[in-house]
Amino acid sequence: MSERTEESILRVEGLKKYYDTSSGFIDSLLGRGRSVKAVDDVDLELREGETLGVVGESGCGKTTLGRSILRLIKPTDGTVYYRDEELTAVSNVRLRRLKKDLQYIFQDPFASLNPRLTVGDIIGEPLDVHDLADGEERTERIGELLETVGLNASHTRRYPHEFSGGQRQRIGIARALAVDPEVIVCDEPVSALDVSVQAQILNLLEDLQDEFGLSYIFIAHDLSVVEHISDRVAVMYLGEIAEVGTTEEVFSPPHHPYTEALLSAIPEPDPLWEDEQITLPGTVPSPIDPPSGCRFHTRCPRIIQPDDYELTQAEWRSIVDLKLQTGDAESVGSLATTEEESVELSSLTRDRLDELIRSEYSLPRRVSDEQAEEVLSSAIDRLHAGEIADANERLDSAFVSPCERRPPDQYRTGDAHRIACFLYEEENDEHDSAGRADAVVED
Amino acid sequence: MALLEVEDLTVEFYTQEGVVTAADGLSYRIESGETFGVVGESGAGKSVTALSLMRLIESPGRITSGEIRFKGQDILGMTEQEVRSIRGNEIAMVFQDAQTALNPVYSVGEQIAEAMRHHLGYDDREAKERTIQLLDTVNIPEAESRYSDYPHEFSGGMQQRAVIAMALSCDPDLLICDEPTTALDVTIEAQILAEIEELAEEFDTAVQLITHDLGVIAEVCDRVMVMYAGKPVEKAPVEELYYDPKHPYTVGLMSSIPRVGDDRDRLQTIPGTMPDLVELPTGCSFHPRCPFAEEVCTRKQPSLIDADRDGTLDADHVAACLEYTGDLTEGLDYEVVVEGSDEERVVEEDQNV
Repeated sequence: MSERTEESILRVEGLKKYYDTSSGFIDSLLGRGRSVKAVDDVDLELREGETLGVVGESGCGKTTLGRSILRLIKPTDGTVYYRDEELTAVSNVRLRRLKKDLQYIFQDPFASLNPRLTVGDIIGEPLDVHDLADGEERTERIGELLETVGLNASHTRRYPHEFSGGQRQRIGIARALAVDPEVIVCDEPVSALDVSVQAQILNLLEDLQDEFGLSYIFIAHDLSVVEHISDRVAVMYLGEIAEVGTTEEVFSPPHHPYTEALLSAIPEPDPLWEDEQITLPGTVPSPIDPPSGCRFHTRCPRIIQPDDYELTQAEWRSIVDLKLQTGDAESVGSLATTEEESVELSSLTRDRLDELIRSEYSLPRRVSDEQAEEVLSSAIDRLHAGEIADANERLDSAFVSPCERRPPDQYRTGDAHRIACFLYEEENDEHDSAGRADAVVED
Repeated sequence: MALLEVEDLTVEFYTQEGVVTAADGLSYRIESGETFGVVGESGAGKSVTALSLMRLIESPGRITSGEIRFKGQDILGMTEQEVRSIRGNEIAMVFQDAQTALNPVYSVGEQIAEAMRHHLGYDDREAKERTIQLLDTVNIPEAESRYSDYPHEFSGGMQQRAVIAMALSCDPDLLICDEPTTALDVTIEAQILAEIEELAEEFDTAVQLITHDLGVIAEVCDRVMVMYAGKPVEKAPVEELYYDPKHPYTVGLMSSIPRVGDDRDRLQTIPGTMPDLVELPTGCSFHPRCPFAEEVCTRKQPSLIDADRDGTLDADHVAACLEYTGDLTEGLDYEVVVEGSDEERVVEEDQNV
């Protein structure tokens, strides 16, 4: 980001982490490896004393982001600044020093504690590594830490297996606190816990923040948890930041169509809740070959239609779905399904195929735009002739959403609120003309 | 006659530390076509209940007493062969972890077809055709080419769909779903829940849905049983449970969920953790964590009784708390607040302690 606030404690600029899929020598020799763009060009900042929530579905790169920020894994590109130091460039010796200020709480309280060490040694280890305390002082400090996180100081000689999930997570927190850190990255710290215990841990994290002035990056898939604990929220989709802003700005009401869909998908503990649920079709696409333009366009319910047509939003979404499917499909059979089992699709009449395809994609008999209808029915003609590639070409050239053409910039709709969605392009301009010239420059 | 009647079911596990009573005197019934929810934290005995219905409790566990009647037949008294003809056929199960529920060395289609060949006597071609149809019903794209894919080629959501297709293959009367969406993302969870609801309606199947998520329960269930430490603590129709909870544990559970749109600074918590099932607290198992516990709670074990005290015999809403036998002197003190308009409502449980 071009702006810098005084209090920013951690700054991430253009962070990228690509994984190589090639497995072994032969693959790399033949150049068969492809890169998985787990985190792709992420800008973020963490201010002192705040909690920045990071949400998204699994596979969107939250954990990779958290780990590459602390250099637990080496980022492919980009820089991370901790205060004024470039974390991505410091030597290993210096990094080790800095780790005293930067700690990590892991998701799985069962896998992240060494089963062969006593609780005392688990919490004492960072003290030893950083030479913070030994002897009597070390024992005292461990007892103190255990009490801080709500455990008993007499537990030091016990082993992790003697504790419940919630208690183990407390041990993990105590370990992170041992070095008196400034920043803690909490990676799904409560997702493995029961609700009643989850509430205890969330409260504990908040108390500790107040007491020690900690700054958190809080990674979670559960939006209600993130909404509860965060001051600001970043929503991730396929390795990119879809939206970032204060919790208020992002959630009430939601702006980005992805945030909106995520929010509406949460099952409400209220039987009479009657809010329309937006169901996103399909799953997160593969990060090996992410969709062009806005990466969310393959699932977005509010995908923008080109100016040439006047279709309803539902029709437009269905047409794009059909277009995307013809691009992937191997046979016409996979595009339409029949109730009767053994009908050979190739033996269907043109009209019947038309009907099947329209019902599969919930399109009306004629779509509301003449011009679009023409292309659609000619594409179905080609499908009937069994020429999928040709049909796809027709659809592809006629129906192109602006969302597919180029990736959206992060549009600014408030002081700290940035949305990567073309729907907010205009608001960005308004906001700019209203006197803010320092819009975010990307690419 | 209800489709399923469970009476006084007790399941014990004999471990080195002692006898664990995983389910203790459990009774409930499920009518045909209804969706019955079982909610509780880990260790409450939810899964053990489900496994008992299929008689899948393995050593060191044992069903020590009780009766399970499915369509009037006593499942516990059946021979192994009789149980096998029901298992997967009339009672089917969807497991929490679809990846481990599927056999990695068989193709997904083959695994689904197997149950139909076994129970319904389909030949290979019929079974395959029906499988493809089922895969399509559960919204797996390109079902025909997916038939021969292996489980690892499916995403998590698709694996769970395949498991649901397998469970539905023999058109069961009772579908037991054990945390079917816990391992999935919210967006996929919403899809799967909608599908289970839709399919249950289409096939007129009763569903026993086990989950720890009160949101899921609210969305799909008709009646709910809340479990704590192997015992049911409250049974109620879903709306009554949320708007008029009777047991302090239910109240505690609901107030500890963070909700989007509520602006509480701190979450209410239930102090402590689930007790060790080997050494249950005396009296009411919940008393060490209950904000309203009194001396009598440590001595007397409450039983499930009509919480509305309106004297009807077959009460719909029952809770196991001494408050309802008049043993508490101070009573329970909490209120349920339903905030906002219909669009933006927040149910909040407030414990005035």
